[in-house]
Amino acid sequence: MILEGSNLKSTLLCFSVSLVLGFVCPASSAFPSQDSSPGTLNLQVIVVDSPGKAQQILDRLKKGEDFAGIAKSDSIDPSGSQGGYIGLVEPSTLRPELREALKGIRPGEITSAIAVPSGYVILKLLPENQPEVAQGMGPGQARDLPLARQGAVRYPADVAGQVLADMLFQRFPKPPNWQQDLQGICDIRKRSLAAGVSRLQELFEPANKPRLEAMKPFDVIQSHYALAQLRAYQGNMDQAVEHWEAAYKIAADEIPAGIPQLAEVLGVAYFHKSEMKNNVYRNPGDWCLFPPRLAKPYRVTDDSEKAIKYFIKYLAIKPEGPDQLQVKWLLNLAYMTIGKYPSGVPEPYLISQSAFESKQDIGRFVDVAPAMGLNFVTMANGVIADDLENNGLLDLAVSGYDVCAPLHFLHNNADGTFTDRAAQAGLSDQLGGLNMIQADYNNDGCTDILVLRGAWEFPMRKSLLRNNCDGTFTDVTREAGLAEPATRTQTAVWADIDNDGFLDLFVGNENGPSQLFHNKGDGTFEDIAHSAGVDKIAFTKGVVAADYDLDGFVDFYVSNLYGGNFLYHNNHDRTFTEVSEKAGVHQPQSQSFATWFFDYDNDGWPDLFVTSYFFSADETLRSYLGLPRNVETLKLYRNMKNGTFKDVTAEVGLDKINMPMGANFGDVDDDGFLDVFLATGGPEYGALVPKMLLRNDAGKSFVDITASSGTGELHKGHAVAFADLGNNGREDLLVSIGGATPGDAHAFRVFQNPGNDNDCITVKLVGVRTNRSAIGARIHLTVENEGKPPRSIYRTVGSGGSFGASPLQQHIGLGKSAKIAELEIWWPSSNTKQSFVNVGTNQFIEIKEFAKDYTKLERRSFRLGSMKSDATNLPNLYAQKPGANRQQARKRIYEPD
Amino acid sequence: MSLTKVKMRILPTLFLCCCMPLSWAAERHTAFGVVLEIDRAHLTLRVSCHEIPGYMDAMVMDFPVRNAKELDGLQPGTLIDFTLVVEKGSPYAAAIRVHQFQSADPEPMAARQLNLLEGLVGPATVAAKKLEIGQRVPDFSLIDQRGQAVSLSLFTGEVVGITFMYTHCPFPNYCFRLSNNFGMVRKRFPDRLGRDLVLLNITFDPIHDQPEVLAEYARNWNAAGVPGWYFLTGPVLEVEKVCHEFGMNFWQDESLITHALHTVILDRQGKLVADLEGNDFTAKQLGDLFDSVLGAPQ
Repeated sequence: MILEGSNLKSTLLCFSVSLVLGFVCPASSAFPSQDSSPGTLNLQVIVVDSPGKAQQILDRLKKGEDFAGIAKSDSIDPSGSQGGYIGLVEPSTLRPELREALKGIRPGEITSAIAVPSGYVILKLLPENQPEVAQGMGPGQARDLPLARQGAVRYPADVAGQVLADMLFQRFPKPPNWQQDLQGICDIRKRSLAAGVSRLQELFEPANKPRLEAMKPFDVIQSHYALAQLRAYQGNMDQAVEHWEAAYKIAADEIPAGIPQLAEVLGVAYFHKSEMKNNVYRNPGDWCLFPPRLAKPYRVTDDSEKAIKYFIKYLAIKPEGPDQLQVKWLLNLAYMTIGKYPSGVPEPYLISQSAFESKQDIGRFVDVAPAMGLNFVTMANGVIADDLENNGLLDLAVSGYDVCAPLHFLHNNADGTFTDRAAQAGLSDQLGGLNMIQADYNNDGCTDILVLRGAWEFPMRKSLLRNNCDGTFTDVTREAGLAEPATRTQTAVWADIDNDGFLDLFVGNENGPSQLFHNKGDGTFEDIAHSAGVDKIAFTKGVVAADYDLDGFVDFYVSNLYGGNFLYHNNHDRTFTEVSEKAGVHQPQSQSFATWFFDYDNDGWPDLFVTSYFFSADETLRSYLGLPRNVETLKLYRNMKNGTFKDVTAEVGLDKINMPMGANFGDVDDDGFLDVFLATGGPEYGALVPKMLLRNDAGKSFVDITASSGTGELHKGHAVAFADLGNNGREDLLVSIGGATPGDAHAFRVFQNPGNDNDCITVKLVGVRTNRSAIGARIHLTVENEGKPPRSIYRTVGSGGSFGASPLQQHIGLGKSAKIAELEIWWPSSNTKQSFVNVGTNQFIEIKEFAKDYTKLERRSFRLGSMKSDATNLPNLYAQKPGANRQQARKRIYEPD
Repeated sequence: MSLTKVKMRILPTLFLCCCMPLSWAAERHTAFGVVLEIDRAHLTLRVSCHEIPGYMDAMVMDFPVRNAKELDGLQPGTLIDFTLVVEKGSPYAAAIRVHQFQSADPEPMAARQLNLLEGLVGPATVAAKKLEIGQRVPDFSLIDQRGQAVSLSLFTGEVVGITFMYTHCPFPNYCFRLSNNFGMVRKRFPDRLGRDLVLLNITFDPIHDQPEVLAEYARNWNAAGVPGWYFLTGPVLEVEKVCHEFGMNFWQDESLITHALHTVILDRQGKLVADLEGNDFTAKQLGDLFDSVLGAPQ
């Protein structure tokens, strides 16, 4: 009755105002209606943030209350202010839950409350020609509303500060051509950051008290917040929390709307502080793995307790809101650090680890990086694992996102340890670089390195580092013609586009055209991207190459952060045609990132994998918990052998959100089917999600074995390589862990393979007419396992995915009791085949193009890790009986210190 | 044009039916609105008011003020918080405060921090370029969604609205909302658009937002081919110059852009007459402001 009165009151008020003044009331009929097309729905919507509220509203509607009125007063949707009228909508643009709920609903009727990620939706279907439609927001395809198929995404709270640090860098005065000067860039980074910190600190000095007092409270909050961010960027969490605490106090007194965000931020900041204080970024061991192996608390837990306090404060303010999941998750992790997960987590906030359990188990991987001398602490990295010294041992090159960090060149000591020889190799002035790839671009028999820089930040030059075949390298970027222009890049691929025997280079750039450098064969390159038709402007995050239609010429796939992806089909004349739509591989439309071609089902045709990097821990958690999601999943496209691909993502169980940046593939269980590792995470300190190891189950499905394999490291992941570092026949997982800021630097991880009963072979190809690295050469094995019918295993030579570089020699799992009936090689430049029968397993062989026989390589094998005599060493698998290692690995009790 | 002298009469029955006390005690409501016109001579203010739930719908109202000082610092387009007082049946506006855009959401917070820090570390080049209300906007030339050059000077004699966006902005409440406001304005003034009303959406990500990308974006409002509504891109430096003239600062944040929020209106003489910062105002309020500028004497 009161409400009736209120309505009457506003109507009367409006009427009297119009009467007296001649003003117009909010019009409802003056707007022209839109054209409607058949099949569109005329919808009105109310969105609320709890099921309880939704039920109350349904009750009110039942009693005849006006839908538009309730939308105005209660709906959290932007359409609320317009009475919830959203206009004509294509059903296909709606979330599937809503489409389902609308089935059988007739004009004038109302749905029940439908749960979507951002709240609870009640829809009313209006007659198509009802005039209110004109008030709607319009049938936008890109509408990011709760109703849209692609809804608004919940991002982690911004605790990292790199946007401020990057602004300081951008605004700092710079000399001409600074983008070519790596040391100069490092200096600018240091000086610009110091200047920003000191300007903000001055604000809080006693002398500036009057100035601070004259500022609006909102701006004082922002000043504290900005300084806290820069301190967090530097890793000085003591000062960061001090300023966020100050901001929180002002918000509590003056601007209550700021409290939830600051509570979340403080929770994250204290959590990060706790991790720093307990040294888990330097000695991660099992501390950073989820699900946790041990319910063991950190040594010092006071900061974790404070994190818990703030997370609970946030959750108390937003008891039923859709924004809860991210904070609930962090709360669970915080309880883990005090040894009280899951038992101590308050019941309404508990996230059970059952959602993370593995359905298969290939044994537990153990991080042996400390014992190998590889536990250097760095920000995000690029990684190459390959024989860079031509001595039959896999070395490592590791570059860093930190523009002041020199390249690590890790010489394999052949005893399970590595030594950084960057200085001896002439590489210590190579600073920065988020990714690297390797190839013998000049066919001299030694593998060269390309460092890619500028990703996410500002244009920087690349480095082409020529291997001098004597353990040293020379920076030949400028004479090779690759220095100018400097670009923002972290992705490139070597491929011989015209089969002339020299590797060309495709570079994907951010917010710019791609570059295609044709190798002239004399050590120099020419950018032919424009004439080749591959210079489309995009925000490119991944480029990979394969001859997907087996026509003898290599093609490219380019993944872009937005606007869809490109498939460039090679026209055999140094030009390309973009065919992604026709081939069915244009998606994901947004956030495509790491990508690769691989033959996941061993049918002889390259399939295509492309991740989607929605940097939302919330969305990732939704996937684990089976809740509706807002964003596109990664894609696995099966090659249909006719120039097109089929989206089999859901069919193989990969339709999940997992925010990977670095990612790669290999065969960790040696069954002949390629497995996947996703190095997940985001730059914010609260963007913590487990990495993900996905076992390829016979080319039929991918099974999450993260928990059983012990590889669910929670911190930021970047480049990934699969490599048999000990020459013992099993691929270990090399994972760059560490974020985008110095405050998020982390120890590198080498997850040692627990071993298995299967056989394998490692094949090194040497091109003669084909490029010497044999990139693009195809290997076809016909294998018999224990009397089963022969099966095929296919590999193509390359360094794997677009973020992280595995060895060019191909480690190939063969399954149990395998016999290689035939080993066939196809060479692209000569278009010739070689065939070898009855090749022995569990060995290293080298095959030279045109050669009649293969050569068995004597490779010294060794256990990984001898820096510390701990239990992390595993025996040589080639020398052991099948299964022994796995049992040993399981018996091991690895206690973090 | 001076504002109509206002005396508001509220029907006594209204109060009765709402169970108000049977007296003429002042009734007070917290109100929010966009200033449309100011009449200093008559101490009157025309405001496009936000709805007051349970009391009134959103509407345009004229309010007397009791003190000339209340009008200080107000201009068309200023967002204000005030107290709507109804005393003896007559409403007036009191305790008028300029409504600063102070969103506690993460994105606007980040923009504010960047703005503050930028002001501390560097020469205030960006702020120095910002135009004042009443200043004539220098001509600029950009490229529209059809790939054609569009100069501001083409629209002399027309009212011009400008807002700023980038097409892959992932947050529905920022770029999309401001663009959508223009979508609502277009629906409200179908006969004016292209005749004496022009809407410009300027991207601040001109490298990515090429004409064909903008054409796709414009299709959200079926606006790719609508006369009078242009989605503009252009050379980076030219776009930056135009943005900074309207205080439209933006900063790269990896693949995203952290940015200010501005919607501005230019009168028929090409002068800046209103600058709405933020996203707190409604499409109706913006439309009322356009209505006011369109109706202003030439």
